[in-house]
Amino acid sequence: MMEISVSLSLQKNKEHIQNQLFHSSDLKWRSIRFNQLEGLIFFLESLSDQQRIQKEIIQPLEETKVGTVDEIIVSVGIERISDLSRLPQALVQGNCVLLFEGIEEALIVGVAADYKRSISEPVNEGVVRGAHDGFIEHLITNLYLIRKRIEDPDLVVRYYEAGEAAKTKLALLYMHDLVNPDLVKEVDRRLGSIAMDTTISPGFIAELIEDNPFSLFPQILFTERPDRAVAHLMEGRVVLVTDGDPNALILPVTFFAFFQSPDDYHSRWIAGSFTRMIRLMSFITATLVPALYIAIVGFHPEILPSNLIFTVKSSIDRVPFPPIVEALLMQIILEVLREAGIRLPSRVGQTIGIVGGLVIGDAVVRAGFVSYPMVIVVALTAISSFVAPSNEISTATRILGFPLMILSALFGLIGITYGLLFILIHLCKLETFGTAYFAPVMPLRIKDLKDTFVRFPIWRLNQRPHDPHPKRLNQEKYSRGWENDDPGKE
Amino acid sequence: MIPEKNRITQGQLMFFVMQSQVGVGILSLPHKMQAISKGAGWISTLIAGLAVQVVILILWALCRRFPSDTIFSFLPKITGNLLGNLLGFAYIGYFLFFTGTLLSKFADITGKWVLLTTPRWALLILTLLTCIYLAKENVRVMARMFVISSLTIIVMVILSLFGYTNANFSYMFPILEAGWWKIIKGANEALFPLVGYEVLLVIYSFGEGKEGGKLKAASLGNMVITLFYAFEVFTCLVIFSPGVMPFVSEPPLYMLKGFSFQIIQRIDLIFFSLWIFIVGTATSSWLYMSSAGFGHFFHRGDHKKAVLYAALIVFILAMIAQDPAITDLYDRILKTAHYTFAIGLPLILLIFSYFSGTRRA
Repeated sequence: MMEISVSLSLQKNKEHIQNQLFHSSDLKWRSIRFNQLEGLIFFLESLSDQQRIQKEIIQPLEETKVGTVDEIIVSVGIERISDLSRLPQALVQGNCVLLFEGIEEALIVGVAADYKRSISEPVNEGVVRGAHDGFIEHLITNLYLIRKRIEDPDLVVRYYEAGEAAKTKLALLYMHDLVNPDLVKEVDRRLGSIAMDTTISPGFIAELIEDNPFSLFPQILFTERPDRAVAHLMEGRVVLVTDGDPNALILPVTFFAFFQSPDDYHSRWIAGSFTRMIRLMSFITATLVPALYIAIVGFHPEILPSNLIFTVKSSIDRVPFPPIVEALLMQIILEVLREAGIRLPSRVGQTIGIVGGLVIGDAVVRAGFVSYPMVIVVALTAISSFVAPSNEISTATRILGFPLMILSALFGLIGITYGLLFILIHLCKLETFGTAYFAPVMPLRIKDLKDTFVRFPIWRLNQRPHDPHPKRLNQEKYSRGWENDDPGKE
Repeated sequence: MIPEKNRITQGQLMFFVMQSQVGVGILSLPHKMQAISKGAGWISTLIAGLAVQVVILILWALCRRFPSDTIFSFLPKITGNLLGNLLGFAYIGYFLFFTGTLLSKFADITGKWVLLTTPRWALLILTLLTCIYLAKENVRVMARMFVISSLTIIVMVILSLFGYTNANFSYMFPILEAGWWKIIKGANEALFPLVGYEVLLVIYSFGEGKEGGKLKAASLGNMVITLFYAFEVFTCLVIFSPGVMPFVSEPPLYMLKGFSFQIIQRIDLIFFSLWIFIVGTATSSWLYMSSAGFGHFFHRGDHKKAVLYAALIVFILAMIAQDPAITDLYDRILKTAHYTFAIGLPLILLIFSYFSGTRRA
């Protein structure tokens, strides 16, 4: 935009500002006298805190009457500018603008209002033990939540603005002494190249900067939990926080990060490992069980023991459709129910549960449309898919089941094998921000397996995971130093 | 020459060799061994492994003279441009032909065992699509995949161990019934399923580290596969009596078919699925070798575009080989080609380059 210097005439300046904001109704001004000069204070009443304007600007100016304006105004953020064209932008960010007759400079004072909800526990990332605070829609509060947990000057915050018209404020956080500098450079490059009118949600940012937008697998971890963000920061990863959304983005992450939960680290390590394995097993169940069922029933019933075959067969024989149709039908009904459940208020939600679960589930079998084993299989799949602690991976899991079902309907077990081979190849292809997505399994790094399928006791996790290439790999040497103390000593 | 992000570690090199070697032959090997060297089939396999080791030594000695070249780029340096490029194309042909044979055998066995009514083309397309997906990646990604898919070998060994509940060790004796001459002949036959170490010619220069380390990696890979094969042969020899063996063309599968758990009755199907896994990786590796050649000649070293038409050629080759007569012809051609391209030519090239003193250039 062309630079226009602030005019000597107050009236001219006022007209310019009004024109620039198209005489918007919430643009207000108030006249003021200081140093014997006529002055005007402009602000948007929708964005500025009028009490602060009163207390921090008007009151001190009225009381002193003569002096240097900068010294009298008590606000924290003051800026002197001479470019008139920058004023509208300052106003829409919640600042107020101070202009005086005969002075070719404007003062911009930060008096933005802060309306925010209180910090509460994130609904979709609950834990049994552990911190119960979550991010909110306010950037500064979110940064506070992280800074408070890492009181270390090495924690760096970098601001960015995304979006050309509606600018969204972004903060990039990393630990300076841990993070791989190439990673920061790369994230910086990608954030800088975002060209879009509006970036409504962090989902936009994620989609704009991720490496493989056509992959089914999520490559950036969303979290509303500060403790999760902090844990990843301390592993040398980068966290992106957006203003106006409680979701922080963590990158680069591996496939297995989506199956970690803060609960794993708050419970005893055996219990933590157990639940972690349950989660990964559920992932496999959710993707594979319907396909396996279709393959076994359709191609190789002889895999099952003979008395089981009779039970299954007697139920299937009444059903007029092939297993794949049954499975697709039930899966889609289930997805519809799930989607309906999200949108409805919780009181009506129960009704959906009864209609969906009892009426459809039971009636569909009695009417002979779907067999009992299939209902069991689909229910098992559904429950397993919801076990994952991240919504993104849970959705991916369920979608992944469909191609496998189709393959198994066409080629039986062989089809499933090829499907799995394909998925594995895809997983080892994926790289996010220079990190292998399926690390530490592909490429194999045995040391990092300590915190992948199981969680080793924390005092055995002396090294950070290698995948984000942190500057320092070692976290500590030996965390249970008291064991070396001589017990015989008095 | 080789970009940083294409390099593979020595461990990955080992798995690369392993996964290229282990292929379709494992299912029929015990049957063939028994037919020639009787109870000493496993000894034949071990001898074959030893022979392969010698060949690996030759290939290594050849490749180490050109530490940043694949076979396609160092051939012209030894023999001159015209002959070198011709030989390069011959190698591509050999790789393609081998992939075609591998796939056609795979389709035969799969059609016989599991998918009796599925059309051959559908099965081939399914396999090739998966292999294309892997083969068009760079060597590093392929190596990652090979490392993890080697787990299947461990599971296959464990599954085979169940067979020992029905073992009768007397089937093996007398071990040397066939005589040493037959045993050596058996080893000659066993050489064929172990083919795949030629991959060194293409990927040697991608490996990191010293020459000695790379030799060790390749040898270790060959050793693991030889032991695995010998183990399977041994297992089948003690489970099937010599009288039954001639009628069992895929002994490892039959062996597991007779065995069942409480919940899963057909372990052979699981074994079969794992076998598909390793056939898939082996095919990808071979497909990569030929498309790397095409890439060198037609796409300035970028093999990605070549994978598609290489796969098409392989598909046609595998579709032709439906008749037993043609399959036999394929086998005979391939045996000669194997001796020529994997053993003979490298040896000649090595001697030639040794005396003419050509090195990296």
